[in-house]
Amino acid sequence: MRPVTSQPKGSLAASRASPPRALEKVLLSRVGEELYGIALEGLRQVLSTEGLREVPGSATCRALTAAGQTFPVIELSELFGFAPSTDQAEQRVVLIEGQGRLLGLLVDAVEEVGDLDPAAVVPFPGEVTELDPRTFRGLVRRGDRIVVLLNPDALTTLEEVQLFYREHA
Amino acid sequence: MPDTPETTRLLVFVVGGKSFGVEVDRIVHIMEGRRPVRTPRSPAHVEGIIDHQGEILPVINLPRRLGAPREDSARAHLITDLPGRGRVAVTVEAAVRVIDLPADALHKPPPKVFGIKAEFIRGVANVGGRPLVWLDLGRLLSSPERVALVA
Repeated sequence: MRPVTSQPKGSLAASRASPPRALEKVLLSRVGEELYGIALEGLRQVLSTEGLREVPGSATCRALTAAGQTFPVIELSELFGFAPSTDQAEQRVVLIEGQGRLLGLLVDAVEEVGDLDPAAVVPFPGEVTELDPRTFRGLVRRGDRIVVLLNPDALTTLEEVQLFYREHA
Repeated sequence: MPDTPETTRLLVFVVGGKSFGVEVDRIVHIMEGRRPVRTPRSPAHVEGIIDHQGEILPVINLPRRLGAPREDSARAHLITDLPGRGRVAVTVEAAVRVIDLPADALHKPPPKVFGIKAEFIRGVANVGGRPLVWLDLGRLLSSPERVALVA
């Protein structure tokens, strides 16, 4: 049977309880003028750039030793084709783990830890990058900004990272 | 009333100092004063992404796509809905005005206009003594072919 009267839309929406949402925590870092997010699940540590050293023969990859482990560090502004950071005092190494490997990401600054609603993540459009689009987990809006979420598993399989581990095994 | 002659309503914009038009029907919105989010290793003609009313759209820089010799600083983003391409933001130097062109004012393009092949052009017209190129934006933005706008 059809209902004879219908409630205004507003009250229908209000009476519908919003389902509980499992929020994730993400670390927000700045590269160039843009924000990049890494889920805390894949994050190991945030380190200073002290002790960061060049890797002979590699332009994008550097190395850092912390707590007895040596791992490669990728400068994201270089990987992304952005201008290098102008304020080196703000730079940090964000240590992540993916596919069982450690990888440091050199970012221009670490901003804050924020909440992420996984349901709000939209796919990263492949046509706006020449990198493997799997490098990016997706996009999410934060206020009037757009955060690009990084995918640790894809980053740790970058050619430079694999080469580092082959040579430093 | 006599029959209304068939007219085409175009939004006129400027790229590389030249006037171009696109059907007003294809324009969803014109945004000004917004900075796109730059994306990592973006292809040469891609400027990044932009949030348009909750939808994140790719931003195509039309001066770069057309190989314009210089980029003006005054900019607008045309939110377009193109056949076979969906919604995309297109950066132009300035969105100028809307004009109605009667069918007899539109001409078939020669093989190339301003260095742009006729396959990317729907028609040419003379408006106020200046040439106006009606672009086939859908075809232009889904083709990988290089274009070099004549200075």
